[in-house]
Amino acid sequence: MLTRMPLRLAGAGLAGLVTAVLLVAAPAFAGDGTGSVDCSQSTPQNPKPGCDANARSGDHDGTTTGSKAGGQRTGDGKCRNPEGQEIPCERDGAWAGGDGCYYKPVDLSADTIAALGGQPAGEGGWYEKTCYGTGPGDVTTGFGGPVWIAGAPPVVSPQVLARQARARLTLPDVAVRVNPSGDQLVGLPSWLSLDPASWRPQSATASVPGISVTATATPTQAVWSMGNGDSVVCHGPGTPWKSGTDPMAASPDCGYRYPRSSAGAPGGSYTVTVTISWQVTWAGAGQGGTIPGLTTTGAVQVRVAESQTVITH
Amino acid sequence: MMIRPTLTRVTVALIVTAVALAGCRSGGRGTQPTAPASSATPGASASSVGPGDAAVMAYRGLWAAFVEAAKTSDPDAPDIRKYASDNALKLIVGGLVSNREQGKVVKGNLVLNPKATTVSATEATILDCVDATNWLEYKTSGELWDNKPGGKHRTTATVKAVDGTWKVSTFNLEGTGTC
Repeated sequence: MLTRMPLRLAGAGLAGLVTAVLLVAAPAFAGDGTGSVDCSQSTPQNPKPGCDANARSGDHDGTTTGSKAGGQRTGDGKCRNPEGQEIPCERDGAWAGGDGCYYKPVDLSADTIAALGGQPAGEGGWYEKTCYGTGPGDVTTGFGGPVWIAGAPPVVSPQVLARQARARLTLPDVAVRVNPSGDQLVGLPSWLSLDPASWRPQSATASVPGISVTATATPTQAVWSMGNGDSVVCHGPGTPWKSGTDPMAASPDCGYRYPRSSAGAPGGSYTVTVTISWQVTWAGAGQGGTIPGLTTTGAVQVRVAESQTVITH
Repeated sequence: MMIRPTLTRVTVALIVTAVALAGCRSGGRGTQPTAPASSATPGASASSVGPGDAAVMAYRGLWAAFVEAAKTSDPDAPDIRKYASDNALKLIVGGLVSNREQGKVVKGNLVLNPKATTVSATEATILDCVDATNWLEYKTSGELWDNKPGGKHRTTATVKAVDGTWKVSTFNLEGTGTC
């Protein structure tokens, strides 16, 4: 213990020296490609994800709450910063918040969200936050990287409300049917269909006083993974097979023939997985557009038997 | 897991740091960022090379993945995840999202000259002078983003081995002209 302590201090001293050197880096704006990862451009007001541990211990991790930022528009319809100066309500595709910074909702993939440390629980949204300098010729800090704003949105715009409305959409469970019922037979047509309730447009609305936006999800296609490596793409819910239909007749819009039995598959059956893609559009405040879509999935186990097996019955 | 510092390690680290700092100031020899030679395993394998080399390979691998992803501002490029974790991953993925949202891409050549300054069995520190003079921001329409010149950036990184795979976990790049 006595011999280790001074050595540990020596190590800490080296680390401290290195840290001190890092902190005196002058904020500079690069025209090269490093600007987006330059932590000297990260500030407590305009944090970049991933810079918190590198730079200052006092920084939070890029998660902020929108509570103090809401209500950016004053009674006269103008946007003002906290000092009361009038600022543009929209800049570079982003909207002014009550803190004088600008927010643009961003749509992130699941991979991106995972890389950013996962999506925090509860209501909120991902935004690009930009805080501009106020003086003439002040260098702006640029877009800081996506941040999660918990709670109410920091700004009110139809585009932001559209994301809120989308988050409120409840899409139906996927009820899968493969007919004729019972075992499917090798070489005979299987009719693939979805319960009509699985394939119906859904809407949800988000509003603040004066603006209301409705997001609508519309199913566009169903990808059927047949469990044997084959896939079938259908642009509708398919047609349910009715008893009395010729067993040799194929589905008019969504069908498949299994070339081999499922005897060799795990458990003796195939897992058929259906993924429905939903297009999401929004409309409100005289505007509208398309935002990233959603998917729903369902699965069912299907046994596929050789026809001879049945003939011997 | 606590790593017990020894006198030898601290001394060596100080010497290596001094050498690396000198190398950084003089610009050093330029090398292109290239993916590690062992492409079979993600990250850099610790078994075949020493930890310092493995850490430098992971660091170079990350830059190669970043340069490739920055051509199209693709935050979901799988190679970035092979060579980065934690805050380094957040920073680079977040930066690529920002670029994408602004309609910005990065093209050109980047020159690296990384040195491992402190090395243990599972963690290493890298010091580099990243020369981005010719790695510039462009609008997706094809014109240069602005008329500001690129430059050299002092960069430090922490590289950690988890289950034998080295990944960059923190990444601190400083402003133009810092080395």
